[in-house]
Amino acid sequence: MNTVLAGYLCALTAGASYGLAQVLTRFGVTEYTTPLAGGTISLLAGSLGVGLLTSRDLAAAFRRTDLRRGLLLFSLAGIAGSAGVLINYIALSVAPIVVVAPVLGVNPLVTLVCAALFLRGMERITRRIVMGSVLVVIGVLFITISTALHL
Amino acid sequence: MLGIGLAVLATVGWGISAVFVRLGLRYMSTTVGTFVSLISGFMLTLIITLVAQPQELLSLTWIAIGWFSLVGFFNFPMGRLFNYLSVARLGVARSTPILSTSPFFAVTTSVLFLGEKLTVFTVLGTVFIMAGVYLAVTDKSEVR
Repeated sequence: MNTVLAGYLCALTAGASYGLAQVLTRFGVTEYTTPLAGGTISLLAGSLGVGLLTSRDLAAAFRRTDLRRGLLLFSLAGIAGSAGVLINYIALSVAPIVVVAPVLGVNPLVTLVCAALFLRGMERITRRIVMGSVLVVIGVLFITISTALHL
Repeated sequence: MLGIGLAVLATVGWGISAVFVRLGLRYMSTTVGTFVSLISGFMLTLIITLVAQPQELLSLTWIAIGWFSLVGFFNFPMGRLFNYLSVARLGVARSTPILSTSPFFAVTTSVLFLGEKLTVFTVLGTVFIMAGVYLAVTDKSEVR
């Protein structure tokens, strides 16, 4: 399959899976436990699942000479991502969702700014991508704010 | 104001995470990288949970564990792995707008399976998201 098409399909699969996980999380934190305890369990289950999927690649990966850089960068990615989730929970505990959700909705634009700042020479951010991201953000804001306000 | 500041900080955390992923993919395969990021994220979350809410973690029922394992399946082997696979193929800039469509899928799931109402705002939001995804998908720039 064409690499770019495969990339778009992967992104859509990820978006759909995150969306479904949001619905399941909403029910889980209402019925069963706190976001923090639930998040810990889902991260453990996810680690075990991906660990099983990747068990064959792990041995080969640990033989590579540039292992340290990969380990460091992906560990930082995991820590930054999880820190984002935890800070998001704290934000939701100190402010109403109608205040927090719109700020979280601009996440794609913040990611583009980070990419422009730190991935110079690796990423080309075109006007079309910026316009597309702005439209997605507007759409996400419509959905999240109207859901939060029960409109 | 504190809530807004924290929300901004959260989005910066996710943005920086995407940058680290893009850089890390030069040294490690997508699957192994996903595993490493999950282990580090799990360790951080576990420590904070054990410090802040140990009782909640220790008193979890089997149903709660099963439920959040299901959440973990959709969030990580499905969500994060495919997220990183898309970054490896498209780069951060082109994959970001598509990855951000998750609220659309959340609403669609809620409408289809939980009987939530479809509102004018939801439809409007969906139209904007589709238009944004169309613009991102039809971008012809090369991935370096």
